[in-house]
Amino acid sequence: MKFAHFAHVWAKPGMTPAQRYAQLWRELQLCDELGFEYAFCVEHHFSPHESWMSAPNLFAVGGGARTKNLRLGGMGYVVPIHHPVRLAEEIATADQMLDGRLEIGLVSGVSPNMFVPFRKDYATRRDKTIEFVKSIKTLYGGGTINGTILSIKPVQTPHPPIWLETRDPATLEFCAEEGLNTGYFMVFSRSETAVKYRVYLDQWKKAGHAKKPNIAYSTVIYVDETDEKAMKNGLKDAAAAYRGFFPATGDEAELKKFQDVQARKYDEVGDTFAAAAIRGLLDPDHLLATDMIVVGSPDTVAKKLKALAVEGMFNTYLGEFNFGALPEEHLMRSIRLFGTEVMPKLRDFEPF
Amino acid sequence: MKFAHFAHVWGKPGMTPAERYKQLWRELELCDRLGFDYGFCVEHHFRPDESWMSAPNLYAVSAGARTKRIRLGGMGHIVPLHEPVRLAEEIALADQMLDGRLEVGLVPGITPTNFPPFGAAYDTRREETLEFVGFMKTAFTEGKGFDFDGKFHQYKNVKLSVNPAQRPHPPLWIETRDPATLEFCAKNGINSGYFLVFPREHAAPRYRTYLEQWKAAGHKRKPNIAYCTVVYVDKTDKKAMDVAHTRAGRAYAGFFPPASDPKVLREHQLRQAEMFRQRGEPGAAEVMANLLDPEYLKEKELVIIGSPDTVAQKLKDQAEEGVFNTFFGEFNFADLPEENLMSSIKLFGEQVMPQLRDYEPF
Repeated sequence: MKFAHFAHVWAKPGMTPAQRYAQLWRELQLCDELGFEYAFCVEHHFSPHESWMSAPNLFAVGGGARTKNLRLGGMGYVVPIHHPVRLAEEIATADQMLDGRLEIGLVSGVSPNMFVPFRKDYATRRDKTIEFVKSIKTLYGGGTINGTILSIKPVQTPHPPIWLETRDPATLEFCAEEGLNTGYFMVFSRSETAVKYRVYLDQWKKAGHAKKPNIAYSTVIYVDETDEKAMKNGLKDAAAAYRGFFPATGDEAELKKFQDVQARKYDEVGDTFAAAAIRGLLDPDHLLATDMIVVGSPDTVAKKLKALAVEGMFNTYLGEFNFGALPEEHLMRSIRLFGTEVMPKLRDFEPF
Repeated sequence: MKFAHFAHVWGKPGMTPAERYKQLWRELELCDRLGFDYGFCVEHHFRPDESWMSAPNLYAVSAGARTKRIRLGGMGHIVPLHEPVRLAEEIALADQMLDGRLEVGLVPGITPTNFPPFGAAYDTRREETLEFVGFMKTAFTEGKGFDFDGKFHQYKNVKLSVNPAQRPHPPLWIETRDPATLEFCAKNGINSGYFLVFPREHAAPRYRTYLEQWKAAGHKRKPNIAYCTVVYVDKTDKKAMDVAHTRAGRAYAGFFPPASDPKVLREHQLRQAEMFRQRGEPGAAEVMANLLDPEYLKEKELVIIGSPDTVAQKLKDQAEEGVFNTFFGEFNFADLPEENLMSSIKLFGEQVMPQLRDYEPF
């Protein structure tokens, strides 16, 4: 298995963004020392109460300047709200600045609100994202698009590894054919998603790629010396991690209503796991019962992750270590325990 | 006076972009240790034979991670080629990542071929750039949503996740010689500057007017007025000339479309000179027509090459003549070897800057 530090770069109470980024670099430096393969961040916009990360390339070069081996990138760029030429230029520049350590994560975007200020069309987001994959392959291969030639290309040829997180069967088929890694988020059922990824793995095999794909799965994680300590120090904050997914309010009933509105979108398409996940996203009991968060001693966490990987067909774990109001002391100990005591147990494990 | 390391990040023979960036960080780390005030880079596009820098915020964050005090930024972001919301977001993020060491340089853009791939309009570039200043000031409201009703861009109830560390915003620069734009800069407290292409004696009267307008606007501090050219310092004048004289004549070759045939290159040069002539700028036209002639550059003192004492004296004279208090030195040009490059920066920092630190041309 492979391991990533995953960051929404959530706002932390009592911290300025400058302090939060300085802390983020400390986290990444530790991950680099411990031999994590990857560090990824999100691209979120217009959410001061939630994520402070709207520019993954700035994360990548800021993190890259402070690390040696870690491979960095966005997971992912919200492609339709970028200008494709500029995004292609910046990816190439970042990969050169990282001397070939960039990963390209692409997403088509979930939140319609993000599209409005950028004046971009929400309905065609998936097509735009797939078109971008073709565009960068052309541009980085030395080709031109409408006569445009880039000043520089990435270090990695023909291009840095590309990821497209999706559960959509048509998009997965495209990923398999084009050699794109994929992945998903803990609000979706592992067993149901695994069925789709088995098809993707078959398609990948048929396409004749030399290596296996990476399939990523992402949750909040907290490791401490014992299960008791982990629950005591991590559970409350883990349950508050996704608070920013919903609008700010001090009223519990109103918050429930916000959650319900979002859950109903999944009710409508018959996704009962995701609907329940949204309704239970701030409830520690629901999160633990469904294994949507991973909290425990190194042994517990290793065992659990192995079981989840088998059930959910993933070979790359994206751990969100910094959440809620978790103090830095606990945060860094959790990362260190994960790196020294969990990762070695799972290094050689291959779920597929 | 204040001093900047200025970088077109020109492609260097035998180097990959990755190697070129590493060299750039070594230059900036040295500048940081020597007490340079600023590091700036350009935003250029679609010219693999010329500049390798299209993303000033990536430059700023990368360099910021490797330095402690030097203030960094683009000089400048070509505003009409950016989505204003994203540019404002990135400026805010970069300033936070730099813990308040970001400078924001804005330009309307000059090369028409940069515009079509971005679907951007060339004719309205100046107006759009000025509109962005107002947009940024509106967008950087602490934690509140904002509306913006501009001529080119309109927004309703947008809330940025992050504001810059510097309040209300990082220092702004617009490099311009245009009297109307200079008036706007003076009113809004925006630094300015110009490039060796514009003869100092022609630029000076315009900046004197700008200084008066600045004073009338009642700003507390003096503005920064920048002048940018190639500089090379060595132990003696002779050594400096031996290393840099002909190389300086090749520094700006990338200003013109790529041409391997000298005759074709000459035609490109004369065509650009003609463009300036038609704009009513015969001085700039003459410089353009002679920009690749080292003898001309030397005679008109358009590049600065010499011993520390010579360079300090020249810079002082030029600052006086050209009404600038900030020097943007382009240290890395043509195929200058790194050994010479680094010793030039070192001599500039240790022996030129101290002579001019307290000198104020206005």
